[in-house]
Amino acid sequence: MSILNRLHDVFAENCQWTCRFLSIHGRTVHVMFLNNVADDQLLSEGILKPLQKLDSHEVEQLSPDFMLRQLPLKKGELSRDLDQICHKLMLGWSYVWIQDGAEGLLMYTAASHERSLSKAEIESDEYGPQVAFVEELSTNLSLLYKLLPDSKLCVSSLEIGNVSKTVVNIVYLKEYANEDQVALLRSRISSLQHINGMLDSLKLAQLLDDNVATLFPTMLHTERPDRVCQGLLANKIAIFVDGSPFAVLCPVTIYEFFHAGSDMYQRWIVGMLLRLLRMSAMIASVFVTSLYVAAITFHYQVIPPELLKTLIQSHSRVPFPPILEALLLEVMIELLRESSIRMPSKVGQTMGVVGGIVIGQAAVDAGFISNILLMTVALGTLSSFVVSNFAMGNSLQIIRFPLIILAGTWGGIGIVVGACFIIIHLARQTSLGVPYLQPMNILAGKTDEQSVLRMIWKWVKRENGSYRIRKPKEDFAD
Amino acid sequence: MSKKEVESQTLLHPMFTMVFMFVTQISIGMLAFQKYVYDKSEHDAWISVIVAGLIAHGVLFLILKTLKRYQYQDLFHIHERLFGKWFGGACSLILVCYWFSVSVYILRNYIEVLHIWIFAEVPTWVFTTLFFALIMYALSGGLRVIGVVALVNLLLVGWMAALLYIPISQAEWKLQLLPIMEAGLGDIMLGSLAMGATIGGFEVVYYVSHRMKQPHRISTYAQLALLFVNMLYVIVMLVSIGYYSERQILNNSWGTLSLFKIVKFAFLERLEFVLIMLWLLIIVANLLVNYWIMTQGLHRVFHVKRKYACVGIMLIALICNILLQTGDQLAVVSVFVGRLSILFSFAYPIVIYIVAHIVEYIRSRAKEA
Repeated sequence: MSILNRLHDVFAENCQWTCRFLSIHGRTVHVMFLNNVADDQLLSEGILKPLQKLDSHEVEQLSPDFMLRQLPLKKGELSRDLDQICHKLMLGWSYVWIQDGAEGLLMYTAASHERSLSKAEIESDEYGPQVAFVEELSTNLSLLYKLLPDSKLCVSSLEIGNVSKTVVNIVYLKEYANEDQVALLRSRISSLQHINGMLDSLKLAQLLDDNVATLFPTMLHTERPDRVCQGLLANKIAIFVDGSPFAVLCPVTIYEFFHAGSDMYQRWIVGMLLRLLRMSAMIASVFVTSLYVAAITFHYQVIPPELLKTLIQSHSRVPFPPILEALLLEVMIELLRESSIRMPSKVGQTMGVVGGIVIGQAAVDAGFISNILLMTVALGTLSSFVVSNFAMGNSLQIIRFPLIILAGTWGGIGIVVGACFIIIHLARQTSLGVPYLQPMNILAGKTDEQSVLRMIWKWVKRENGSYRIRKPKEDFAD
Repeated sequence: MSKKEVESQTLLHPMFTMVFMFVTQISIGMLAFQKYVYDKSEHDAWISVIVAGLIAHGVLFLILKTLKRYQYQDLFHIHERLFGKWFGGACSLILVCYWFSVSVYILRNYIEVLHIWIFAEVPTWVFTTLFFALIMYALSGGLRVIGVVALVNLLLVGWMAALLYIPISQAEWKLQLLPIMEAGLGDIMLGSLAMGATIGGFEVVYYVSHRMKQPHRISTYAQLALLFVNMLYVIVMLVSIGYYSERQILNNSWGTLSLFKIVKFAFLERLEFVLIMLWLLIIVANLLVNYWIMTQGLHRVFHVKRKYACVGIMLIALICNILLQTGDQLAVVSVFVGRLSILFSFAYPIVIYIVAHIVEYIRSRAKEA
């Protein structure tokens, strides 16, 4: 059975399967490809036209090897292996086979459905490079090469997924990244060989986590090339998945989820205060509602009388216990959040804002919810949006619910027990073997990634070399 | 991951010695020690605190000497080296019992505080189970997790020390403190004895030293930690003497808590409630260290798996906690544990030091012969 027949069998149920044959001076050449997957223009310019233009003299020495030398396409290889041919055809390659030949020629004619580069939308920021990654792996890598054109930049490629055959690239800087961590990551990715489909880097990141069940993201995803480069320079490893516009950085510590790319580009005091703001926002978003519930339900002694009066007055019209009231409002806010994400963008924004105000205000007027709780929950929700990483923000948002229930059952003790649980949970986590809460330098570490707060560049040790050298001041200026 | 890296991650920075000492020394004792010391040496109680602290420094010095002699192995190992497998194991078991009684005393007393101040109706077993769930979860992560949790918890509670400035600003120093040394030397020593029961716990160095990265560096950290804890106790004692009258201090079972009663902000008052709740973090950290030592001891003596050891201890502790019902029973236990604490924190290290000296001397002579 010839290759042609066998391929016909394989693709019998695929309507895109096209086999075109050309007769050139008495010899039959078959060109096989999948319609729409292969690019029409490349196909006609790169294979069909040159073949038809061959004169009779050339036709005599026509062989796959000869064609490989003659056809004007980027990539090509000889093949007789059916599996390889099928795989390549699915990727948009074309197979050129001369009648009765033993092997044929695979030519790269894949059509690209790439969208053009655009601004970062999830991590939009005021300063710094604005470009974001796209779904095409090669484009993403070329963005990286442009920022870090150094031979130390290593890219190693792996393929996972039985069906999806996704290309995964591990990118790191030699001599910067820890060799053991790279090896560990590579072995973990290879052990995922038998998964069926790998469609996005966020899924891959979860499968690569040290603890798959953790509540918090232990790998940082980003769509900004400059963020990835900052990470690579700070000894991290980046993972790219073909088809995903997010790169994943690891190992990371929890503090890095509160860094934003633009902290580096701002004046130090602005960057530092913004980071402080984000950290306090995290604490506020997690604890503020449960504190309200605990104070109103159990611990009114700790509230000064003047404030207590306002709190009680506002709560007195509400027929529910505080815990129920708080849960009701929190669920409402979650509904708003979730609906506004998937709504068509034209309706989404107005609906989100107006719906929030209308529902909130109406609920207060109807005596369902107290004013102060509305404020508290709004503060918490707002704070969770301030956290620069969305995955982290979502995790924090979820943690509030058990804390509210704990606060409603055991008051402040419940909150502290919950907080203690979170601390223990965080202390147990590792990211590629690096402790998640690893004590970092509060003020200035070796690199900016290692410092909790953004500091004056002069104090960041790794950046000292690049700092403009000045004579040390010996005295005050005149 | 390479072996070297695994090791470097299970070994801790020597600074964590400080953390472990803080949490074992400042547990429930910090909330209520004034009454017992003041009872003996009255307004010179702060001198008693200093004297007890100085003695503790001396004992700690001996502990570190002993550790150095045995290349910073833990106490269970030292027992085995000194007394052989059987008697050494028995000694280790006695120490496990000591830590067990301390852990029951601390947990039950804290639950008593919760009962008195916040939730009178919630049964003891509910709180105990809550604590044990947290402890079990953290213990399974090993000493590194315990160290990190203890450090974070200490930082979360530590800021409250700054609030002491309010009672300080209202204290009557001249009236309350002077004249100095009115109490006799005997009274001062009796006060120190009472204080010794509170600051016991520094012998935790015995158990954690072999898990530090550069064990020879722990001496400095350990002495510094002890100095810091002593200073904290002296300050709190001084503030209490200055702030309370004689009768108040003797009738107040929870002297430190009441100091925070007058702290008041625009949105928060009665900070003692906040202190009690946050103190849970310290208690958890303390119990974590206790339970870690116990599970290590049982693992070493009986070769049981640590998790079974931990579950077993917790079951017994739960029963003990439930059986201790009245305040009188608690007081009896407190006195008992206080004596144990003086015995095992102050006397036992001295004994071990001397015995080690003698045994090693005899052994070296035997070797020469």
